Amino acid sequence: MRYSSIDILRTLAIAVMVIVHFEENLSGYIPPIAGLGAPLFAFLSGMSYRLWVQGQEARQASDEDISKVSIRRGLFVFGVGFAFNILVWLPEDTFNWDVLTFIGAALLLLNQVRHLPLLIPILIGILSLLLSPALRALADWPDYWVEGYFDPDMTLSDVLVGFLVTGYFPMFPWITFSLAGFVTASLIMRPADEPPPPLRPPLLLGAALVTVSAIAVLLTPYLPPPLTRYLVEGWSMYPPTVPYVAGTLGMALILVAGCSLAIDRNPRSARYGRALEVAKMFSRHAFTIYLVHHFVHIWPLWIYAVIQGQEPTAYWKNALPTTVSLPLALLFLLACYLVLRRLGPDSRYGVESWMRWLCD
Amino acid sequence: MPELDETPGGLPAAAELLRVAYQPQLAGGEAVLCDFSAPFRLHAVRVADAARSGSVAGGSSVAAAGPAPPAELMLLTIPAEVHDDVELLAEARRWVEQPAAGGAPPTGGPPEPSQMTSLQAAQICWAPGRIAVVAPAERLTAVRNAVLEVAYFEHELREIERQLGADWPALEADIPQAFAADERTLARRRTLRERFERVMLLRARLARITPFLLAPHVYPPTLASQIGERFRERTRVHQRIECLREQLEVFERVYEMCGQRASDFVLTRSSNTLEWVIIILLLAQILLSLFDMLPAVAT
Repeated sequence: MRYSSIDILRTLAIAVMVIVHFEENLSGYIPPIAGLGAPLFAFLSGMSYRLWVQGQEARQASDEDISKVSIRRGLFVFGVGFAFNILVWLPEDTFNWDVLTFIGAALLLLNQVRHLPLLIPILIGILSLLLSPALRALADWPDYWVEGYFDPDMTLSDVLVGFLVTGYFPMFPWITFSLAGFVTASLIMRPADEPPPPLRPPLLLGAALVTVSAIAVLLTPYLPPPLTRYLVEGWSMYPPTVPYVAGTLGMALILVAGCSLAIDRNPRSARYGRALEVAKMFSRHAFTIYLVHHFVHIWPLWIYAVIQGQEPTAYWKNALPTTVSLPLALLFLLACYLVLRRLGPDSRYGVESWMRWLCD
Repeated sequence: MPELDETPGGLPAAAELLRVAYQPQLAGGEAVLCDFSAPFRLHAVRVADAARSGSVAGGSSVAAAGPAPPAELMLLTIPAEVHDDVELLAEARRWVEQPAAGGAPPTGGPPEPSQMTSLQAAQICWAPGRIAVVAPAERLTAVRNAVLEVAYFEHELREIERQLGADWPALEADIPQAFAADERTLARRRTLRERFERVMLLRARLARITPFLLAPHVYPPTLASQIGERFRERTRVHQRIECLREQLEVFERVYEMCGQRASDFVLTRSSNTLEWVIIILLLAQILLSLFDMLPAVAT
């Protein structure tokens, strides 16, 4: 069963990421919406996995087959993540632990978690969130970040610590988003033959998380140092602090429950057919759009700098003013829409189709 | 051609059509036809037709306190001194075999052919839900009461068979869950419990009527006891009870196993959850220890 709410939110997440990346990488400007797309993307990846498993179970696929496909898909995304790091961020950033390697690893973990009672992923998610500040402190997180960028030594311990705690998208605490998405889908998106579960609990939980996060951020200057070092570190995506994770998680819960109420369970939502069709097109090709948008705005920077006889990263973050980078981002989204419309809403092209061909 | 559910024409004026219901308790004012002996505590009462209350042939009024219960049996009593009046019996038989109002007999299912029993100048023509009794006037009440009693037990037996038959598809669908339970079984636990309860209820109903249906022949025989015995023989109650017992055993076994599997699953899941909680906490502790040791390892 396809949920239009997930299509809409995934489209929103990818649009936010495209705009933020264009502005940040071309102009060095970080818009206020930065840091909202990736958590939603990670949360939706957990939800999508759960729904995919539900679909496989409904088709009577064996548990072994589901595991095999899950592992192959996880490894595929993990591998594409490395290829992406090498091709887009150049070989020295192979182990920067970007979002794709995280999602690939998360799929492998979710495949194990799907057999367990829901209490266990909830516990892992909470522990991941609460242990992250302590792990960052133990690993000495600032040592891995130079001038705002993750810059580890090419040693096994640094690579491992980067994967777990200090990278761009480390398992701790980002796995909380995937697990939360998985649990949310299990609880509120039941098969069609079952009565729809209430949406008030995720809405209330989301509101509570956003409120707690806001209070924590407001109180940060007044809290004693041990608390700000190990629990409440203010609002930051790098490193992903507890208030940041709690706040964006709450936002994701509210968006999912709200959209589900307004779209999936609203019999009048059919009148938004055209918009839902567009969202479906973007959602089905979100992985490809994520990769392509990097190539189209990063590679020209590298190529132009090399042609000019400079370091490849010479124009990174200072190539264009934000008045140009933002329209470029919007132009890219428009181009995506036109291409996808030409291909049709049910077309299967891009990395997603490769993944299905290779893994399913 | 008589109208459906009306006293057929061409019968003696004293012929009477009774709509009978069986009630565990009397509200007061019902026309009681006969009382069942303990442990049944039932009363066969005459009920008025909802459409034509008070217009029953014979003219006797039926006191109805509140809405009348639905008739479970249609009984036509015909006093006749000549017990082998062929035309009378043919007329009675036609009435028994005609479909009830609404097109189906009160027991449901297609109409069944009637059977004729002759005992001591009493002729009983019967089909599920419809019985005609032709007997001398002085014996009519005794025969009617015997028929009412045995018809109730046969009706009960038939009802158990009908309900079990209707539940077969559900049973077949539930069989896989008697082998292994999962999350979906838990979601259906309430349904499974209700089915198990229904099976136990049917078993209780069967156990309740079995002593009467399998009672040995009475000696010295009376007209009433002979009617019961003959009726039981004709309706093959021995074999039917045997079959029902076997079928109920299958139902009971399947739903017992479903309950057992579901209960095992819940217990195992609770235990597994606890184990996993401990494992996760231990892993968290190991992770913290590893990160604590990391600087030393790195240097």
